[in-house]
Amino acid sequence: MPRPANLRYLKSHEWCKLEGNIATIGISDYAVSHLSDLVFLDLPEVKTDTMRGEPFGEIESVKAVSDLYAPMTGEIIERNERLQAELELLGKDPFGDGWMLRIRVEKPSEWDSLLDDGAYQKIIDAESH
Amino acid sequence: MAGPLRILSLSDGRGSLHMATDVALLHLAPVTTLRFYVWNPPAVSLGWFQQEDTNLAQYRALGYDIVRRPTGGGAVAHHHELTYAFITSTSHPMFEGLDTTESYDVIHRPIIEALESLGIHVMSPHDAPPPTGGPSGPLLCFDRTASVDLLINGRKVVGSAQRRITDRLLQHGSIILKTNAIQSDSGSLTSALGASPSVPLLVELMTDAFARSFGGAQPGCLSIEEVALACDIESRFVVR
Repeated sequence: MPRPANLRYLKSHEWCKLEGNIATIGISDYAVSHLSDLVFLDLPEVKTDTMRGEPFGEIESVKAVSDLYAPMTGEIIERNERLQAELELLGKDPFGDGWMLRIRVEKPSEWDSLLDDGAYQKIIDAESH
Repeated sequence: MAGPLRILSLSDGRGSLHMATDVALLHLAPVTTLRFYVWNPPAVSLGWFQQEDTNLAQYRALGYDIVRRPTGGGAVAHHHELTYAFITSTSHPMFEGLDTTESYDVIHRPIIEALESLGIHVMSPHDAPPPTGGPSGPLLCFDRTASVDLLINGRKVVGSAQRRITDRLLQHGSIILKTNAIQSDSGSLTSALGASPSVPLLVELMTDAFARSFGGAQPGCLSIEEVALACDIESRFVVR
């Protein structure tokens, strides 16, 4: 699945898109394929905060619970309510309809330290070799 | 998490502290670690996302504690079982690049080897019937099968689950020695063998099998930091 060019990533496979001071967050197609058989997603409430590098939610697949990590610090202004009922969206469109949170970022400079697409591809290549 | 596999001695205690210890190891273990434990008193553990239900009062009346597992899946009644917990890094050479299901397989391999040394045939997930259950399935985990369970004579005898943080994973699982008052229909080693192997024998067989799989092992004990963190977080796993 081709990845949109304007995204940045954490090593733990969360993606981030920054438009002005609003960041959209999700997990990559690589993460979805490695989790497989998703059964439950827990996302935080709107108006709570995310902290860069800290867990913001949890996802369960094949009896495995994994933490999800925030790429940027900010206040959650929207979460994808549809996603929690339709987890298959993560498999169908992880970079689009499978988005998880929108946050108002507090520290725009954090964007610069996220992985660009090339650096993220190296992470995937290293894990897959 | 370099170095040889650290194997902790068999532990006997309450479920909430077992769960907290597993999570403390997930965060702090300096090397790949395997521990074994039994539940005293017996307990019913609920999966991390599982709703509490009205049967819990009935389980308490039978003398079971109720605890929350840090891992996924359904409820498990822990009595007459040996539990293992395995903590490693996802960048460990035997786990790097594996998806979740494949990582279960790597940890199940020595368990299958240990059980088969007793003369029983263990069905791996790949030759087992299709899974049953799911989020809306039975409350009790051993009333359903998942794609990562181990079966003997078509019945679930080993059920495992995982918790993952950054680049580390915890997998713990129940090996059913004989049925208990709550999971009276589950499979067990007793039903497969005609008698239950002793817990020390099972620990010894599994220790040897894990040591062979992971290139050696050394006995170890919990560090002060691991014990302190477990005590600090134990209340998270108590269900009142």
